Amino acid sequence: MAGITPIPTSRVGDLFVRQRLLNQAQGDQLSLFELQMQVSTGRRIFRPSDDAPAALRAIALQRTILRKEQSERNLAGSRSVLGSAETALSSVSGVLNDVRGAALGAVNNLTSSDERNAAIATVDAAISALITSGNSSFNGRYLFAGSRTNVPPFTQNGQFVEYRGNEKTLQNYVDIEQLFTTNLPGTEVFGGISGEVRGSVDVNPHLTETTLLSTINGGEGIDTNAALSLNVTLGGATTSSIVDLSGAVTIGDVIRRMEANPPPGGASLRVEIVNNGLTVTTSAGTVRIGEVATGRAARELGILSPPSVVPGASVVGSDLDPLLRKTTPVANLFGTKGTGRMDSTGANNDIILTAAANGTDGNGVTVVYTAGGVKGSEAVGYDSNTKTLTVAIADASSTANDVIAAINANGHFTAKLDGRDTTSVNLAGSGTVTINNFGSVTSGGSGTVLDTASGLVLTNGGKSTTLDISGAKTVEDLLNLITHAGVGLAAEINATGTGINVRSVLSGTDFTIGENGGTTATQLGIRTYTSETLLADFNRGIGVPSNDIQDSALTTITDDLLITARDGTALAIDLDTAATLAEVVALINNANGNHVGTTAVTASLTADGRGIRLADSSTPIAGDLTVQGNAAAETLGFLSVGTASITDNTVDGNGNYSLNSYRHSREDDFAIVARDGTELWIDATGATTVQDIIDLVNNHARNNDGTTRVEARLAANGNGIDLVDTSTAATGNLIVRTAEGSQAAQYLGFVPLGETEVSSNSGSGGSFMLTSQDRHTLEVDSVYNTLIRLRQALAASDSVAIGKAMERLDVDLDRVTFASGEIGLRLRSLDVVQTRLEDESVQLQAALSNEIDVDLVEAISNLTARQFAMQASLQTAASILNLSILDFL
Amino acid sequence: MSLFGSIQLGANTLQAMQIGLQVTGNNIANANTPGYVRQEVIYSPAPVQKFGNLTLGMGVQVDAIVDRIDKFVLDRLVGARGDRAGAEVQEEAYREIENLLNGLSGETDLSTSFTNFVNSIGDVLDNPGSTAARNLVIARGDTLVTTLKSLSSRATTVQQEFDNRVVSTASEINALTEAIRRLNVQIATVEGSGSSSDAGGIRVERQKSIDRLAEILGISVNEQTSGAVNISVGGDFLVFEGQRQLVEVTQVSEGGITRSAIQLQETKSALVSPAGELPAFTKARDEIVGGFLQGLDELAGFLAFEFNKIHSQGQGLVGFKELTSVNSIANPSAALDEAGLAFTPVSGHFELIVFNRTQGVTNTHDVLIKLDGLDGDTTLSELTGQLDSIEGISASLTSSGRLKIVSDSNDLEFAFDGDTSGVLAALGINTFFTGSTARDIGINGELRGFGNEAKFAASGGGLGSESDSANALLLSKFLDQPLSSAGGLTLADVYDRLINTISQGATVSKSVTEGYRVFENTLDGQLQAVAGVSLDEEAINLITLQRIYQASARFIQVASELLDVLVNI
Repeated sequence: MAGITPIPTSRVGDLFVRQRLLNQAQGDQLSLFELQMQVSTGRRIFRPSDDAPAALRAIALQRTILRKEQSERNLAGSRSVLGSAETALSSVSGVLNDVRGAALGAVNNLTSSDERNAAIATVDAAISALITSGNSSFNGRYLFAGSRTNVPPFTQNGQFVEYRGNEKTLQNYVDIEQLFTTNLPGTEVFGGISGEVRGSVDVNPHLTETTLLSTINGGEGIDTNAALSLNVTLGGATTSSIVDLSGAVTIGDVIRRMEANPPPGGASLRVEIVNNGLTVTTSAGTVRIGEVATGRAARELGILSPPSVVPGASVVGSDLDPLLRKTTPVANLFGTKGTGRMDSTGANNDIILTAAANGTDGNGVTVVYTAGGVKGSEAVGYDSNTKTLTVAIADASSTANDVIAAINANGHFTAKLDGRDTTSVNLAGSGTVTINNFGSVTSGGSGTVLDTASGLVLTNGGKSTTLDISGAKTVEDLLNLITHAGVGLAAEINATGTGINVRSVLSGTDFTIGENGGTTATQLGIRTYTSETLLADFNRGIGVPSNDIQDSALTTITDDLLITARDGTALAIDLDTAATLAEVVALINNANGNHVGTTAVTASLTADGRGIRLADSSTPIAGDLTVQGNAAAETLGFLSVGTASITDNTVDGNGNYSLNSYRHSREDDFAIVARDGTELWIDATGATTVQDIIDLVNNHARNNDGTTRVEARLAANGNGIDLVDTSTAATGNLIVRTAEGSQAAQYLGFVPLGETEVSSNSGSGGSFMLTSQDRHTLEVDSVYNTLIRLRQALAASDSVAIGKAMERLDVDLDRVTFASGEIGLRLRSLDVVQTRLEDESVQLQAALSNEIDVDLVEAISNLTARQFAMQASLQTAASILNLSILDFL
Repeated sequence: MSLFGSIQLGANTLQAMQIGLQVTGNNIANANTPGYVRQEVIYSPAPVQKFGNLTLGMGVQVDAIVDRIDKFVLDRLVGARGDRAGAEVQEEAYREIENLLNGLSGETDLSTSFTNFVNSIGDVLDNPGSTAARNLVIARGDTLVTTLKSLSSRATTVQQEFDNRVVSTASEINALTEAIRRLNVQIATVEGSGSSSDAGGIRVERQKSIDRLAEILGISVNEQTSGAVNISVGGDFLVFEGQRQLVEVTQVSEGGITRSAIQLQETKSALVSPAGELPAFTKARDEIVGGFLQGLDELAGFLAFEFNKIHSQGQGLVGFKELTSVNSIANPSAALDEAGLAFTPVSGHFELIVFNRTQGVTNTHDVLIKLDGLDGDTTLSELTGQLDSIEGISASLTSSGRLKIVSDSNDLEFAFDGDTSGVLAALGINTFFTGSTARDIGINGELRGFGNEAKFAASGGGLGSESDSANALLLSKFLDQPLSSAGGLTLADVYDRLINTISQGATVSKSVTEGYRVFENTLDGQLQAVAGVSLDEEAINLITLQRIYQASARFIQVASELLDVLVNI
């Protein structure tokens, strides 16, 4: 409707009347037409300006509706995918129960090959059925492959099953802001990736100038809008400056900004990376570093000076603990390199020197610029004894760049320009250096270097490969080498960014990672067989069964034990009455002639309670402490059968000669027979780790009676325990022999299964060596692994292994059931979301309709009202126009 | 006093009444003529005659024929016309843009294109391995880009249209001032030389021209005693008595865009008008349509840069074998944040991934971007050097100042990850959109063509076995993402703000125009109240005049009969 225009008060012209009537009629018609449009289109507003607030709300609503519609589509997609997964899993538990039934039948009747073959056939069928289930796809998307949806996740690789997917989840928005995980990786349903081989090793990457701030403090980084305050107290006056760290990306940026903004007052600041932290040193006075307002940059950079500490010339920051990244150079692991600066007078000539390798060897190096060099071909020499790096320069002619090139060519150190001293990019390093002696410039070196020369021995799926990692420059190179070694292993950086994990993706087989004569695997924490490895985990969880017979009673010893003290006193001890070793000890100590005068042979039980220690403190020393060979000495374990005597003439820490006995008994599990015939009987009872076994050997009494015969250690090559026979009186072979009734030697891997003895007549450096087999193998925990193992056990009629496999089958079944349950749960929660989406959709449409749709009742009644108004208006107009005075004249 | 004198008196009366009838007839004839000002005959008693000691009236005489007009209302109407015409132009401009946006259709508007585009990424999330879903994203992106571009081009056309109207206004002003000048002379001639009557029709004709000119410009009109009017705009006289000043069109360049403006031909100074169509055309062109275009450009810019920033951090199903940056830098030795890129990168870093598809081996390399203004900020040359030193790829600068990266062997592909500097988005590497305004926004050519849709960077975990859909997840909530370059607003907010500006502007201009229209109509009513012809009034006048005429004739007859009596004596 047109605006209401007031009517002039005085007089009305005809033209005006007609124009006004025309306007009114047009306005009425326009309004009528608008109403008609509203009724015919159902819309109340046609363009935003018709009702701007409503239109804006409507636009927002339209957008929300569109997004909700997409959410519904996403939800439908998720539902189909999860539904397919649910269907794919529905048959799995049936298959597994069939297998269990068949295996149970077979285990009860292992002798029947028919029964067994039938069971094997069932297992084979189950394996292929489960591979099919595992490779289920929907709409071209493999359901159980993690995020690698276009690759079938489970493939038969020879007799093993390889998982080629990953463990990632896929997510989609099923509602605005509501993320929903739409897949279960195969590993969570069927298993497929082994647990990590993970040591407690922190590979401790260096802090360097290029270290990203986002990776320090274990990946927490620092507040990006940070600032800190530098305060220098000089001559009683304290000056401060604020260093803005916003936008700084690397530690180098922080260093540059701090050095570029020293507090006014003349002192300059030097910031260096020492021991993975920052050290700030002032050239004069004392320095404190504080926060700006409520910031926390100084604390996050580890250089906040606490109020309690008296300020000094430098602030030594704490370890900033940078994350291990794929791009971290391998050389930057396990410690830090010593570093320092050589500040020459003048500009563009200061040099930063860094040791080539980690470790304290790079600390305290003195650099000497001596005369006699030629510019451009300066000679560099390094004396590692005196830690002196000598650079022969042409005095005041050689430039910093020349010196840097010469030092870098030498290789012991790397040198680079100190940017602080550079006046312009063009002049960088052009300053000359003069003869000088920089005493002990480097510091901050620590730790060790990764053994990249030796490499790793990887074994998986019956294949073993020796991995040369000398070409790996970065951590990622190392990971790639392991992952792509072709043995079905996958390496990655661990979740906390402190080390690397290695896992196997090959089900149905064992895998191990061992050394190749060096320390690489141990350093990286990925060796599968370490001193801490639990014996209980040996043999796929069976452990190392030890002969646990209690046998403390002595058989009656008829001989006398004949001991000659070092002062020549002969002692003969009658052991007829002795029933235990403790009684033997008492008899020796109370023997006739012992502890008389200066003769003193003191007997005690050895620490393990399995032998007697004789400590001879007699004076004067006239000869050796000797135990003569006979049945008594042999029974008590002072010497081996048939040996004439055993003597000792070495003074121990207390000034004594000593001899130990070790009494072999039925408790012992195996004997290591040295080349000289000495039997080292080992009782593995109570040993829980590999180190315990090694200690049992190395601390064995017979090994510590003055002669070390057999040394045990972790295998230098591969895994296992090396027994190295260093006997000098070498006549026989190095033998490991099992004790009757004990399987410990077999289960530890010294003696092959089914045999009782193993011997070696070879070794290196004149020593014979025996290495135990690696019985601490790891495997993938998956349903395929269980089935393949079950198949192997059935084929071998190994009832223990079948039993073990059936236990695992329960775990697998639980996992599948859990996964099915999880999927069902998600489907149900999708139902809830869908219901909500539908409700919301109705509400949103209603709200949108409220904003822009016309209220038909209102529009039509308006139309009618306006119609009447127009009619009335036209009628009155007609009568006005008809009126004229002319009619009355 | 004589009989002849009486006859003469009657004759004078007859003549005066005839003139009155003539004027009434003219008024009746023009009752329907718009702009016509009714005329009135001013009668006065004729000079008196001394007869003895009597003073005799000598009848009536016509003093003047005057226009019945309220000059004060007329002056105000001149201002009101300018305001109304200007407001109407603005209203039209807003309506044009509203029509372009078609914001409430829910099907074809920009908002829908945005939502559809971002929605389509949800399909990639559902099936990250599928190239068809990626293709849909690119197609939807295309629709969005086309919508933006066509909006921009149509708005530009509207803008051009307003510019054209500025141009045509110049000749209209010249024609009107010429007419006013000419009529000024005529009116002065007609009304001058002692005439006491108004020029009537000529004045109406001139008023028509003045009215039109008042619509175009905020003029002030000053009538002189001669009957001529002087017309000035913001202190400059356009018409002064019988002279006028010509205006001409000039092209003014501002910010690289050429616009038409009107200046005085003689002094070359810009014609500054406080009201009317001309300033409204300029405002519509520069502020309303121009502002909309600017807002659209901003929207497209935020979209391109921020979407690219996320996209450039992801990886496709396949990597690149060869890649040339979309944007070029004229001076490769300039720090990247001062090299004139449409989007400014900051300090940060990104990772370049070299992937050997045959072996499935990935190699990651850090690339640092330092732009803190201290020594050694990263330049394009340095970046090229850093990239070139990476094993497996070669980087070089093309002659046009673009960064070109090529993998060294057919097995090797490369991709990018974790760019915190925005340099990839700024250079146009691994981006989705190209361009930075609604005019030049497009889809990166790298994504075009068969098989290239796989390069849509949905993955955040790298190429090959660790490929996932993490980046697509980020992209799919792009509309809700606060954008740093937009001061923390989301793209939806920016769009809403644009729409809000337009619809609020449209609403306001609509009501303002309505207000001016009513005001003008009111003044017009007031004017008509004085100047309008009322037939009833004229009819009454007519009868009165007729009766006087008849009575005068009778008076003459009486005098004549008296003469007869005299003659027949």
